[in-house]
Amino acid sequence: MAKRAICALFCLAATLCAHGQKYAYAYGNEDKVRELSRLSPTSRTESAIRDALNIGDGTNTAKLVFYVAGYRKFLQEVENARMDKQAGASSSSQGATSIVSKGVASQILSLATEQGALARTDSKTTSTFQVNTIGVARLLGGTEEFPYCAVYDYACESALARLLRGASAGVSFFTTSGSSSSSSLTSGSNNNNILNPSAHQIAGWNVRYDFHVRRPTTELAKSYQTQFKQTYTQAETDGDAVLAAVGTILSRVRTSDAYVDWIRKYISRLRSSDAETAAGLQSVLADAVRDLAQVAKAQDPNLQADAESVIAKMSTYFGNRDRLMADFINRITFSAEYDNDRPTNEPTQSAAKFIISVRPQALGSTALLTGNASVQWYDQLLQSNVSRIRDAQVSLQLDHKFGGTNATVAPTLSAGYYFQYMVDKALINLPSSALAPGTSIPLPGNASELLNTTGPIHLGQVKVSFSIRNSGLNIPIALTFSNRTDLIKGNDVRGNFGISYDLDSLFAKN
Amino acid sequence: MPCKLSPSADPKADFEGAAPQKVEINVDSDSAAAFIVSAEYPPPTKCQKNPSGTWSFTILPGYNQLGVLVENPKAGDPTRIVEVCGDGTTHILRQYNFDPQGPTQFFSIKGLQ
Repeated sequence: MAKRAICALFCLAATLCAHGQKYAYAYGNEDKVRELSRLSPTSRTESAIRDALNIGDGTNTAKLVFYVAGYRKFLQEVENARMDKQAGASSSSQGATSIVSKGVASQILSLATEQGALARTDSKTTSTFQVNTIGVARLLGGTEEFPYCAVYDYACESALARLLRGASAGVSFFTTSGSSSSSSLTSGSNNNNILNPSAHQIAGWNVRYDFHVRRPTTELAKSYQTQFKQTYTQAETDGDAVLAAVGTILSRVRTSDAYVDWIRKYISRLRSSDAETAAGLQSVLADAVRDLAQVAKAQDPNLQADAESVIAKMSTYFGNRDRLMADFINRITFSAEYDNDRPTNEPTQSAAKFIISVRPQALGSTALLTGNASVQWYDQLLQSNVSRIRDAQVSLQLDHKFGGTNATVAPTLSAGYYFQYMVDKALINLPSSALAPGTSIPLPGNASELLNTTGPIHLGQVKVSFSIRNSGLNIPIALTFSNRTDLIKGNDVRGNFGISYDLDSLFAKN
Repeated sequence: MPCKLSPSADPKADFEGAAPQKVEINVDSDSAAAFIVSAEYPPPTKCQKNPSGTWSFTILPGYNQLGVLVENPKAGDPTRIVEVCGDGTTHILRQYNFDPQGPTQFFSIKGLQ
């Protein structure tokens, strides 16, 4: 116990050492202000200061917009562009809505409640908390939890932050007792008569690591433009929207007398003793962005809405670019996951899972193909002679997102296939007082083999997930068809539904 | 063919040039990976995209903004937006280290009658 506590503290300390990119100055082009900071105030030229503070510089435009609309608003908008996160329970759980685990875990914390098993006979409702180690540690440490980093910006985060970002863990709880109410078995079996839920609450837990093998920067620089033009075909359209939104603000501000007065004032202040020390320089630049926002507001009464429009358009551009270019920049994206399932009536089971996600270019920018392969084994065999390996699974799911980037509700249609091979007879836990099905013969011990469960399970699923913009809410509704379940042979049709909340979006709110 | 834009002494403009002359712009960077995604003058009027990869616009009278959206896979890469002057020379309009969070560059251009 003490070792675990020390390890946890060490991990927390390590994650707090990890960091991401932040602007060093409240306003001004970072490199140009840094150059000014190396000079005494009187040595700073008017043209160098004018250049550093020019509102037309991209960094300065971004800083003004972030100041007016909020940096977290920007982070939230970027989050809206993502659809490939794993929030719910593993497909082998007794309460799950997806036949595949997705390729990227939540960056901080997600909560999902799901009803209905997939291949398991005993169907339940589970709630799953999924956490990312670095996100939670940063949150607890009070530091910026997840700054935006462009997909190609390898230096944006420290090496430690990059390493830790891939690690996540989750735990699922049963929220109701067992029920097969969502199931419609077409052929009966006595096996279901002896399935009786136990009272334990933890449905399972998992640890996973997301791997991104990136291209070297030199290799990236050579072919990025060609790949960008081939892959991000809407870039010009999205880019035009960004330019138009920024232009709305700058066309009113840049040629105003108030802007000219503002820049004269701050040329003077940056050449005065006010900005001699590092703290003094920071203070002057903080005043500069505050005053510039007031100047802009005087010229543009709709500044708040216009700044939010810039953020929305910029986030669409960044989100689409990062999503589409990720498969080129990350040569390989895959995840390795360990699941520990604790189904009622069965011994605990472990699974090693491999997850891979790709965006097939032929299917367009809004399609995501996810594949899983896993092997599951019993942690204890108790007194039985069954194989340690319980089953092997492979699954494939295609997601297609509908709706525009600004749509309030963005539905995603998914279709998937899942195959599971039960290697041996299933092992179930039975109390020593239980009777064999249909008889008065008492069953021995605390474990029993269930007859006729060996063989393949084929499962198909269609699912619609509704993502509510700016809320982090996702509501999946699925219909699952199978030739049988793990313990009972007979066709099965099930409804699966749930609700997940990605708390990344909550932490991104102002 | 000489450059059409020159630095302006007018504090409301970065550059000035005679209307209605045609200006051609491009971007280059130390890594040679920077490129223009789109350009508007004045927004939302799109500039003309040339087969060579450069962009062109015709100077309008008065103050107008030129917006350029640049993409560069190397963050912090020294990047230059240039006017292509037509005689094999270029004129640097702005030099900066590429910021992935601020990929736009805007210029206030004063068109002289």
